[in-house]
Amino acid sequence: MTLRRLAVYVPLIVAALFFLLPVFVMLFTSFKTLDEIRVGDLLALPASPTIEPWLSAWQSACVGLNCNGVRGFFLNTALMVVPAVIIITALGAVNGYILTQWPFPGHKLVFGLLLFGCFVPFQSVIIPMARVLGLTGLQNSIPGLVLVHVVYGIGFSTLFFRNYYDQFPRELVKAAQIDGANLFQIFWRIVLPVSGPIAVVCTIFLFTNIWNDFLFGASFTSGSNTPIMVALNNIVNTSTGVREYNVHMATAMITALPTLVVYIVSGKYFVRGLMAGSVKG
Amino acid sequence: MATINCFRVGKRFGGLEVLKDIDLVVEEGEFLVLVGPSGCGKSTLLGLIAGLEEISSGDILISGRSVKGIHPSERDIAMVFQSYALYPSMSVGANMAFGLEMRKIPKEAREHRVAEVAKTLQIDHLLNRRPGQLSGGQRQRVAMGRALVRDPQVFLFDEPLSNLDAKLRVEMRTEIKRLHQSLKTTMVYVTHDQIEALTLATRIAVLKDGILQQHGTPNEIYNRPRNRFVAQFMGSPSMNLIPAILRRQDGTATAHINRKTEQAITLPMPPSVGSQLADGAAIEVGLRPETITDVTASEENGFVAFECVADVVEPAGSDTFLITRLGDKEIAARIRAETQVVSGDRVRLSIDRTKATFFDAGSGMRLAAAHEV
Ligand SMILES: Nc1ncnc2c1ncn2[C@@H]1O[C@H](COP(=O)(O)OP(=O)(O)OP(=O)(O)O)[C@@H](O)[C@H]1O
Ligand SMILES: [Mg+2]
Repeated sequence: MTLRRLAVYVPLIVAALFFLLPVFVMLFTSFKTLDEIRVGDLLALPASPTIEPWLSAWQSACVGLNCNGVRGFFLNTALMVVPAVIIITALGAVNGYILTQWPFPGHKLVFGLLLFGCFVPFQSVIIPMARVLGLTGLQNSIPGLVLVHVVYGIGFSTLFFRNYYDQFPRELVKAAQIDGANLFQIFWRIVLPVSGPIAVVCTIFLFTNIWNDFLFGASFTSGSNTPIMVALNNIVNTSTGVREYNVHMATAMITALPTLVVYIVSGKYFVRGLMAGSVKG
Repeated sequence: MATINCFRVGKRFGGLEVLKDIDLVVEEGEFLVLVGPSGCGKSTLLGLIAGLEEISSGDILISGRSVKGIHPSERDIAMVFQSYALYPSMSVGANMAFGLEMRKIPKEAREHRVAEVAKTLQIDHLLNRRPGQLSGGQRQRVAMGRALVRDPQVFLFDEPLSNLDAKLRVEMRTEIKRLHQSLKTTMVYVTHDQIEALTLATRIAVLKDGILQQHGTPNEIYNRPRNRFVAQFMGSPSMNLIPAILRRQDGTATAHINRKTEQAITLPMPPSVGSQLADGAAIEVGLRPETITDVTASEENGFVAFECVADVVEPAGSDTFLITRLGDKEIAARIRAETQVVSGDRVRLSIDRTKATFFDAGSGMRLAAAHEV
C-alpha cells in the first residue's frame, strides 16, 4: 500500500471505529445479564450471552404503565412509515415529472415554494400543525402523523425526482406524444420504469428520516399511539424501579434495526445505467 | 401521402424570434431536406409540423387541413429523432408496437405489422432485445422501424444519421432513399450535412437564422444559388468566392480579378448579368472547385487559363484538391489525380467560365442571367 492510500485509509478507519464503538457497547450490553453489567467492563464481551433482554424489550418491558414491550409501538411506526414513504415518493415522482416534462406557467415558483418547505424548521410548525390535526380529527393518531410527514416530505421527494427527471431526454416524451400516449401513459409506461434508482434514494432518505422522527411523534401522539422512538424514550426515562440497561440497549437496537436493513437491502437495488440505450451511445 | 403547406410560419421563444415568415410547400411524395447551420431553426420547424411546439404566427396545412391545435398523434405523422428516442424499458418489439398499441390496434395485428417491418429493416432477430443492448446502427434502424409500422402520411426525420460513423451513414442514406422510392410517402428530413441533402432530396430548403434562403431542387440549389450563403453552404469543398470588379465596355461586361504579383484575370460575363450593375461595381466571382481544373489547351473551349503557385496539395483518391491563392483569397481547385504536383510548384489552371457565377458584393445576392428569371 502506498503512503497516499495509507493517508486516506487510516483516518477513515479511525473515524469508523469512533462511530462503531458505541454500537459495539450497545450490542454487548444487550446480551449481558444485569449482574454482569453491574460488575463488568463496559467493553467486555458478554460472559454468558442471553437473549432475555431482547425478549423483554419486545414483549414485557414497561412503557409507562403498559407492560407489553415495544411490539405495539414498533407496529405503530411501521404503519406510519410505510404509507408515508409510499405516498411521498409517489407524489414526488408525479411532481418531478410534471415540473420537468410538462412545465406550466409559474412552474418555477411552485418548485421554489416546495423547496422552501424543505427548509422550514420542524419546531416552527408544531403549534399550527396541532391545530390542523385537531380540526381534522386526526390528533393522537397514526394517520395524523402520516399526514404531517407527507406534508414535510413532499418538498424533498419533489427535489429528488425533479433533478433526476431533468436529465430525462425530452425527445422520449415527444416521441411518445407522437405515438399517441397521453400524459399519464407517458409517465406510467416510459418514465416510471426507469425511475428505480431515484426511487431507492428517495425511499432510503425518507424511511430513515421518518422512522427516526421523535419530535412529531412526541408532540402529536401519546399513550399507546406513539411511534417506537417515543416509546424508547419512555422506557429509558422511566423513573421507577431498577434501570435495566440491557433491556434499554436491546430496545434501542430493535428501534434502529429497520433503517439498517433498508440501507443494506436497498443498496443492492441501487442499479445504475437503467437509462442506457435510450439515447445515443 | 400528403402535402404540407407552410404559410408565413413564425416561431418565437419568449423574445427570441427563431423562425421568420417561412413559406414552404411540400408536394405529395416529395422528399424535402431542410439544411442550415446549427441553431438556424431546422428542428424547430420540424417540431412545428409535428405539433410538438405551438406555432407563433402563420399557419401549417397538412393535406390542405390546418393543423393548428391538432395533437401530434392526430396529424398522421411519424418522426425519427436524432437521439432515436427509443423507450429504454421496452423491448425493440414493444418500442415499435407502442404507437399502434396507443391507437388500440389489436395485439395480433400489431405483432403482424411489427414483424413485417422488422423483416424489411433486417431487425427481426432483435425484437426481444432492449435498446441498451443494441449498436448505434441497430438503434437507428429500430427508430426507423417505429416510424414505419404506423404507415403515416408524412415522415419527419431530425438528423437521423448524424450519430452514425461515416460508413454506416452512407449505407443508411442509400437505404432511406430506397425506402422513399418504394413508399413514395412525403418526407421532411433535417440535416446539416449538405451531401446528405444533395443526394436524398427532391427539393432542398436552406435556412439561416430562421429565414428561408432558398427552396429548390438540388440542381437549382447547387448551380443557381440565390445568394452567397447558399452558394458557400452547399458543396464541399465550398464554392470559392473571389472579389472582382465589374467592367462594362462597348456593350460587353467582364469581371476583373486583380492579383498582386501575377497578371489580372478577366472573365467575360453574360450580358444580362453584367448589365445589372454599374461599371466599376464590386462583385464576387463564384467558382466551385470543379470549375477550376488543369485542363490544357483549353482557351478556345470557353476556359480562361491562369498561372499560380500550389500552396497545399490534397490528394482525395479520384481527384486532387489544390489550394492556392487568387485575388487575395485562398481558393480550392480540383485537378486530375494523375497530375503530379507538389507544394510550391507553379501550375497552370483553367476556369470553366460557363460555370462561373457572379454575386453583388454589397447585397450578397447572385446576379441571375436572363434565362433563369
Ligand atoms: N425550447 C426552447 N426555448 C428557447 N429557445 C429555444 C428552444 N428550442 C430552441 N431554441 C432556440 O431556437 C434556435 C433554433 O433551434 P433549433 O433546435 O431549431 O436549431 P437547429 O437548426 O435544429 O440546430 P441543430 O442543427 O444544432 O440541431 C436556437 O437558437 C435555440 O437556442
Ligand atoms: Mg436540430
